[in-house]
Amino acid sequence: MHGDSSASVMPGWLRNQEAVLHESAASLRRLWSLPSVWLQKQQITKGATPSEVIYEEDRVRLLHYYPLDGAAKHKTPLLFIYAMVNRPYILDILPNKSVVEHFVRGGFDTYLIDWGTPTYADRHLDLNTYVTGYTRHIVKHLLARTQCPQVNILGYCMGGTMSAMFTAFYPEWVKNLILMAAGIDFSTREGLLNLWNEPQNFDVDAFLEVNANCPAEYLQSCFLLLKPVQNSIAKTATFLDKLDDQSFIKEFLTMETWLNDGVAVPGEVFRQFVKHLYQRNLLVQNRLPLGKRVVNLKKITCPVLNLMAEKDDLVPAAQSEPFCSLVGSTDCQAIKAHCGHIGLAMGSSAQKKVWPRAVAWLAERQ
Amino acid sequence: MSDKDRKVSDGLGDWMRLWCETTSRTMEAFGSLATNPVAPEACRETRSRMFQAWSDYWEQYLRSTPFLEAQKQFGKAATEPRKQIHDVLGQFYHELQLATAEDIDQVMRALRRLAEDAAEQHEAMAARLNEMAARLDALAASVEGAAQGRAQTT
Repeated sequence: MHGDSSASVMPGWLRNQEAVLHESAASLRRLWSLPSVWLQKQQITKGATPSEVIYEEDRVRLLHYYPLDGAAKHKTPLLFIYAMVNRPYILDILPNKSVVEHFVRGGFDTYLIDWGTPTYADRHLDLNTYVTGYTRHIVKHLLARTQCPQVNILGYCMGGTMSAMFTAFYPEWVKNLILMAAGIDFSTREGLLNLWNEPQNFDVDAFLEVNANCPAEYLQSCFLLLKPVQNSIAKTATFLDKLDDQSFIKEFLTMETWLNDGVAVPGEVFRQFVKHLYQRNLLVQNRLPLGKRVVNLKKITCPVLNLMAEKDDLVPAAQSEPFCSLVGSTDCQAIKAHCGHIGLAMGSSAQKKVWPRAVAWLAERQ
Repeated sequence: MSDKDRKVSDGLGDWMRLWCETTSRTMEAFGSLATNPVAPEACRETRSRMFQAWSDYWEQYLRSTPFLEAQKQFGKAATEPRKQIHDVLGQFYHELQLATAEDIDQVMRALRRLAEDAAEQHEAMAARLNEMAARLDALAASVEGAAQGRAQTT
């Protein structure tokens, strides 16, 4: 009955009926595994590579990832600077899907900044506090700890923008800079966030007057609205289709945990990001004020690797692309990956094609 | 017709066009079911074509004037009542001689300015001290050199 020869002689309606029966049975089987999904959800861990906290200041923590074979091959430490939106474990979300793991395996002494969860009391903290305050203190601590004159920096998303600011202020401390989907030139209207944040569409002062910090829920709903059909209906349909695929479910649940683990952005940081970057685009004009100084990207002279995602709807590639032409570095390389914003961190294609290249690029420059 | 009215009517016209296009694409998606009304693959294809049509609709709608206008109005409607409550409560607090969040903000800003000034002065002083230390070292070295020279001549 199920053989090819019998199928070819079977009338169309009967074949369809058989397919429907098969599909119904498969659907029931899949639904039967639904309760186990809840159990799997309880076992989700945040972060895959073993690490310890080596420095703390206010809510900020610095994680050190244990080297694989006792000691790191490259002496210069590598510092990951993550965004202030959501939690940093997206960079180390699952074994074999971890950016951190690539560098640890590549022999780098790897560190990551976790900005923590800001509260109402942190609403005054601005970009200057984070760039010339916390980040500078952390880098000084790393230099003293490792006895190295410089560090390598890798910044993701908003953390990439902050890394560029930091490198422009302290070029003598940065050996190599890797940017990963970092917003630099905000003049593009390719992304919806750029459009929604235009001054005529969004009054950030009025928003912060009542909210103090930018709530995680607000950011989450904005991200959901960027692709409403894919992020809600299509995602649920795929989830139900693949309920019996254990590895898919594990990845799905880990991703969902991360997506729903949002943190608020300190009010002043949010205000500066919206006003100075989204609305006035001051960074590319070398007019961005931080404290009493102004960020001048031309002061970045170290080797730069600029990683972008072609299908990024959060930070469109057009927003990161001009970076090489804005800095003073003569060694600036750009890689555009065929993936989205999160895919650049954990997507299979990026894991196979982008990160081995990035590790090799950094190793060559040690 | 004022500019604002024209903008709104143009926006509505665009939205109607967009909506009609999406509806017709959604209906077209069901075309694949015409030949094979119950085949699961045909259903899946229909579903994915339908999602694509909706997705394209949202992509355009979220950039349209009506959406941006609605978003702005929604933002205003969400913040205005809370702002009014803050103002009233602020007045009430001040009557009772209590500090409001705004007062704390002012104090924090003043503190931040003070801290920045102090840090700057500290850095400038450290730089001057370093410079003085370097000059003293150089002076000590030259005095030592002179003393050694004098000792050799005697």
